[in-house]
Amino acid sequence: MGRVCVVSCLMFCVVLLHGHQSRAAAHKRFGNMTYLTDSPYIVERVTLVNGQRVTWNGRLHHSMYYEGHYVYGDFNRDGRKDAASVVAQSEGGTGHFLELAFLINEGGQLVHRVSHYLGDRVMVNSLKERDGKVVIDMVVHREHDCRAGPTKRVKRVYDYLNPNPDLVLHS
Amino acid sequence: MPTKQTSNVDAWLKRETLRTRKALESASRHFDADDGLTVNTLEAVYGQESSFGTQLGTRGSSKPAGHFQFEPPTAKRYGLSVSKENDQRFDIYYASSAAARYLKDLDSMFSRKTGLSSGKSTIAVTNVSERKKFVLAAFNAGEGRVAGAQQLAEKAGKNPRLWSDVQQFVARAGTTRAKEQETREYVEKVLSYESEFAIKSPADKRKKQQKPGTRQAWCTEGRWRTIDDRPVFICA
Repeated sequence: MGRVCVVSCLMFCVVLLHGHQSRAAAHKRFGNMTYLTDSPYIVERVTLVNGQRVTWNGRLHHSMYYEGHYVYGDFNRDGRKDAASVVAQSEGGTGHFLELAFLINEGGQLVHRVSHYLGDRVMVNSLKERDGKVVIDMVVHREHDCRAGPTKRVKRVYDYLNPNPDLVLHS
Repeated sequence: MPTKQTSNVDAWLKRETLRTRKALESASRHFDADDGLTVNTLEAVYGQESSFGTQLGTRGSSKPAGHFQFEPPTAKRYGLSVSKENDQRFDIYYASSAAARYLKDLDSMFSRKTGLSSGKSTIAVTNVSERKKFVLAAFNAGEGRVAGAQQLAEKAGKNPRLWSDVQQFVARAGTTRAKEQETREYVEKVLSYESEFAIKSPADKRKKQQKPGTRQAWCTEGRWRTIDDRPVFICA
């Protein structure tokens, strides 16, 4: 009986450790990836270093941060594993604009193709993949919330193939 | 019996300490007679950003934090130190002074044509109350985005000096309609809070006249040089 307990504990620890290591590797991967920006007049794309990057152009600067959330899934339904991660952008103002970056598998490489806007200083709890879409559990602003303190918890679905036109880059 | 709903401004004024009020009044000395900025503008921005210091975030964080929710590059630009041990974004005196100087700088940028980066410059807005809308939008979204929207509005035959004409171009300046909507709402809310503070706040609005802020002379002709890894604009 005792031996069974020890073996079970050991197996549980191995699984836990493996999960922790793969999460750390994923954070390293997404925190050092190249992303498109929505400030092309400052910089068109940036490669993050340890989860962040500040780029200056003249008097303007652009900051980008990896927010520590990611999920894998086949988002363009081509049978290959894509990814999505949450990044934030800022241009010096107080706005810290979060977005869901879809990273599409192109010949084994994840390439940032499009972002879906999440909001200014929303708080993301978790990302899940469901039927090739991303489900985000997050806290958004009610009408009278200050920017730093959103209070409305919502679950929203983001579909790479059918984006809400208000949430993708205006063309 | 229905209870009377108190506004955000009433709640914030109840929470305001004497120290906070003195800090905001003192910071308002960075404003001067030819801008539309007052201590009430600072109060409104303070409420909209962190609900009068109730939502401050984490010290030393690389994200927006502190009383006026500056991110580290902007805080450092205004001389604040940002570290876990000493994060001046969390000191109301330092934070409100930086916020006032940033607002004043934005006001100066939009009061005359100002070069921001190669090919990007602001268009002067002479009307003071109209300019305040551009200033607040830039305080949230960044001056580059707002200047870009002005240029697009001008190209489309609209008036680049009117916020109502320019705001619809914020999204076309490279972003999403949802973000544009948030920036519009930010401006509307701060202006509405500001008018309410102007009526209800006991803060001394005359402070800004006591010691006018030193005006920084923005020039439009010149070139960018990098000195100590920082971009510096050398006027011609």
